[in-house]
Amino acid sequence: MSLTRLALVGNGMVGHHLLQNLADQGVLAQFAITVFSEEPLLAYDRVQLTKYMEHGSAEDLSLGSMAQYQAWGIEVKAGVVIETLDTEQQVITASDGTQHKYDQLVLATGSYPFVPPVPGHDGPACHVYRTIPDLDGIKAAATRARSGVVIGGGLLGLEAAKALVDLGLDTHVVEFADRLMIQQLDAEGGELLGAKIRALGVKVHTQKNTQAIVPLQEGGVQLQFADGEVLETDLVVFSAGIRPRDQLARQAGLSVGERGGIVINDQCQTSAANVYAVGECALWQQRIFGLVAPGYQMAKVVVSQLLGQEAGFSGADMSTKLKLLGVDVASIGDAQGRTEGAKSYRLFDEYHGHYHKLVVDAKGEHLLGAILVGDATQYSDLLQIYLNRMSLPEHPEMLLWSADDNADSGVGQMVLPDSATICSCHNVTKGDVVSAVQGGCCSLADVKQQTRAATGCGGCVQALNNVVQSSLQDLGMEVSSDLCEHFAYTRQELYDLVRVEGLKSFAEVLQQHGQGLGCEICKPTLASILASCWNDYVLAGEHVAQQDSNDRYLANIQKDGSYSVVPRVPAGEIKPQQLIVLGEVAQEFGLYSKITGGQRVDLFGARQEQLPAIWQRLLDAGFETGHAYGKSVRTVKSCVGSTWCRYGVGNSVGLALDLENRYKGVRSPHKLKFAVSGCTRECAEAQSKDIGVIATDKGWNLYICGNGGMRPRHADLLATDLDQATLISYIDRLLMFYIKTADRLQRTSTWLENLAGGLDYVRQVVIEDKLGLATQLEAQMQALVDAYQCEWRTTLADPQAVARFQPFVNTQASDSSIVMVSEREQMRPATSSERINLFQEIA
Amino acid sequence: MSTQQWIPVCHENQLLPDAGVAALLGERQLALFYVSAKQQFFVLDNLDPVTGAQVMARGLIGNQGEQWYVASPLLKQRYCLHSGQSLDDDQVALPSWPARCINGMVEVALPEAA
Ligand code: SRM
Ligand SMILES: Cc1cc2nc3c(=O)[nH]c(=O)nc-3n(C[C@H](O)[C@H](O)[C@H](O)COP(=O)(O)OP(=O)(O)OC[C@H]3O[C@@H](n4cnc5c(N)ncnc54)[C@H](O)[C@@H]3O)c2cc1C
Ligand code: SF4
Ligand code: FES
Repeated sequence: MSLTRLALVGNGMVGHHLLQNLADQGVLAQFAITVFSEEPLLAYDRVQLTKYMEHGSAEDLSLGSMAQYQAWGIEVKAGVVIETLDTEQQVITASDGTQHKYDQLVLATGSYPFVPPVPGHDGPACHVYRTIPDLDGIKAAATRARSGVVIGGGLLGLEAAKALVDLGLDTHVVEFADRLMIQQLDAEGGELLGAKIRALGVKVHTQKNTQAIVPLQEGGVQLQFADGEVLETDLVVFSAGIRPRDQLARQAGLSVGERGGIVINDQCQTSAANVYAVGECALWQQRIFGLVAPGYQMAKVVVSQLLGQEAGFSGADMSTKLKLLGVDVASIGDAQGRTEGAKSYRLFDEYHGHYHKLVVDAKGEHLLGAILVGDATQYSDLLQIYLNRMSLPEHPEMLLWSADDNADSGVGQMVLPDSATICSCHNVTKGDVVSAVQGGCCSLADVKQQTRAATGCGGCVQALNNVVQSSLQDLGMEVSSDLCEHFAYTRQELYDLVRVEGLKSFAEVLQQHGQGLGCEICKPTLASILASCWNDYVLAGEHVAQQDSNDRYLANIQKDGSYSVVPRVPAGEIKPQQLIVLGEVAQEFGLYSKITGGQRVDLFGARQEQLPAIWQRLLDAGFETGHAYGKSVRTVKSCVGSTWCRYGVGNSVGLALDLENRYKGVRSPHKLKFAVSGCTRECAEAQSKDIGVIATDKGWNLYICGNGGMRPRHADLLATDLDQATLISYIDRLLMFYIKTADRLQRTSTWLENLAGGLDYVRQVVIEDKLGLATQLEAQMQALVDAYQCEWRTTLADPQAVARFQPFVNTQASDSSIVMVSEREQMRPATSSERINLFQEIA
Repeated sequence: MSTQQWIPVCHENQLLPDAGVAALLGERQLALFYVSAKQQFFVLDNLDPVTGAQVMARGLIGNQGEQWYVASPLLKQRYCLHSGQSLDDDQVALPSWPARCINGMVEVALPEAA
């Protein structure tokens, strides 16, 4: 059997999804596939485009790679446009002149931003917002601009406005209608959104019809509106809607809609045989779908068609939840209440700035639509009620309050059918999630990886988490959140018990809430919790037996039983005299010296009994312990910053010093690393740290929950342009919230990924103080800061503690099992064969 | 069969309750443990069989059901405090010796030959 020649025009999100689907089904081998991609970059996540402004990493957004396609045996023509289509001969012609015969053709050409043909619309100051090169263009222009205007106050326009704000521009949004997001919101919702966005410093101009864009002599342009007003700016971004890319289809004589779009039937077939269309270029029942989820469903339908299976596209839900410039906005179904007989319930909370509206049918039995502005926590519940046509509770108005405010709102008690869609981006149903859990996934993170749910727009994560948790419980799965057999509590529960009951030692906690002797899991965990709550000296009598070996000797144990010594070098700044002392100590005690990846110096090969003498020398020279041994704050890496660097806009060393001196000694579920960079060049790699700070010309941007190490994770931007006091209050709150709620040995990155509600929730807790915990968290952190002590200083002042560094209880002898050899003029542990040789020589 | 000999090692208040300390007898390093809840003494070899380092005394002690054990501070393998048997690998065991405390002195029973 010869292979089916399948040609795909367009390698956007939907085109890629189609290929992914073929690969997932294991049927690639039946096809000879050629993909034509106009963009030189292969498929990337357009939905997350605005993130590119933050990270500037195209790789982070990448969906399809050349290597992946090669592995799939797919031929890729990147940077090539298909110019003509001959449906008779079944041939397409590319811009490089080559011709390709196909048996089946899929058009996935997407759409383009509509630019109203006002005079001046094509000048150099004008941009659109659709592709990575578009964003690069805006970024470059922004370096020479002070202000920017987005024309169009819809969903994409507000995304673009966010990007301009992030670029530090004085940002304006110009909208033709009388309010923002006219497609999704009603008058009140649009008003409130406008007010909130204005409060963030974005200027919103409604009812403005732009008639001309006139270049100014001194640079920049003047927008001239129909009402005679003008607005001057350096940069314009059009976001006035999208138009399907149907040129190829028109040229080939396929049937297209009056206002554009390639007409398709339920099987996604166009008017020509063997030609399909999917995604934003396709017109189904007179509708274009400007979201990915419907496009993904179309791609699935085409895959079924290609495999000779039955399937059809039956429309798609256009509900959306977004965070626009930090404001939660959601719209479900018939949000405007256009259905005959529809009635609405509305809650306008001026105090908190929330607007909630439910649209119900004439009989009040079913939800037809909803609008949420300012707080969209009920979105996933309402969406499920809407999508599954669940009967409304007796008092539907209860649903206006968010679940947090009202535990009995009725939403929680409504049981979803298995067919309920949880994630519309990846079309994952409740049934799929339940089977993933039954198949062995036992955490939110596992289920995300297995089903891809919540890895698209992320809007469904709360709902997903609910289903995951309840399926785990249904299975009677010992989700065993118990810490270990000695404590039938989670780490968070133990933390709360220790705090609330004021427990001060492992023995007390074990006696009151545990059983048995304890173990290598609960002992260090409780030692860490106790330290995070009270910050006692960790080697005090009642604590010493619970410390992990590194904490017990305040040094890192090495493979041969010797130790390493890492003094703190705050921010990596070090006086020449201190460098000299480090050298002298290394020489005197015969230690191997190495510069670490954390901007300090590690001295290896210290014998247990040498540690006190080594530290005495270091303390005398003004060093303190570096906590390299602890699950605690490690280093605050800094770049040289504005003091020396020609690019620096902030004093990164100064801030890093303040941060390191503030948080040193804080113990946490896992280690914590910080960094501060003096400008966006990011020489301190702050975006790979638990806490990363980058200077801006207005203050500091705060990034959180990055990770290097085993599974690198880019940090997320939490807040921008903070002054130092606010920055520190946010870090205080974030760290204490993490310390309070994380699992043992969970870095901030995995903590965030497993936290239901994710970054939005963190934002609510840390910035909006939704839980009302902020003052408490800050006070708790301040208490830890005030209780700081250099553990080595305390230890050296206590002769009993010093005595514990003797290797043997019954003799002053030193441990002869530690054997060093020399390499590159320093010491290192002898290998086992070297040891045998050495012993033979002696014998 | 070799005969046992009780050898005094140190005073009981030199031990660290619920943790270990090391002692040197001739060429051999011992790991001494005291479990305060049961007031019992244990002695195992200090050599971690997995890494070859003399570190067992620096491990954390714990229990799994009825089994009391010490976990290596290096790679966390666990060994029964009574028998020295590894709980993670049937093939591995640490040498172990009887221990007691007489008039405040902790003694270990080593075979005559040791
Ligand atoms: C010394 C150093 C390597 C070096 O020569 O540069 C080092 C050495 C060790 N690292 Fe590291 N890490 C060192 C920087 C890093 C970095 C880079 C950084 O901090 O900028 C990373 C990646 C960044 C990160 O953590 O996100 C790093 C990721 C790890 C990990 C993986 C953590 C993760 O979440 O994926 C471990 C394992 C662990 O902690 O569970 C680890 C564990 C270790 C341990 C503690 C392993 C151990 O338990 O014995 C090593 C012992 C150090 C010692 O004996 O003194 N080390 N380690 C660096 C000390 C920095 C310092 O001054 O404190
Ligand atoms: C800033 C932004 C934010 C968004 N946010 C969301 C959101 O939150 N949720 C959501 O659901 N959707 C969102 N969208 C919409 C979403 O990105 C689109 O629905 C989706 O990308 C459509 O996929 P597609 O494959 O149909 O088209 P595209 O991704 O546009 O891909 C089409 C590709 O085909 C190429 N092409 C066109 N013609 C040819 C030709 N003749 N030859 C070769 N190649 C050709 C194009 O260059 C393009 O690369 C957003 C879009 C933007 C721009
Ligand atoms: S991050 Fe910026 S300020 Fe810091 S060293 Fe690099 S270029 Fe200079
Ligand atoms: S709905 Fe978008 S990720 Fe699940």
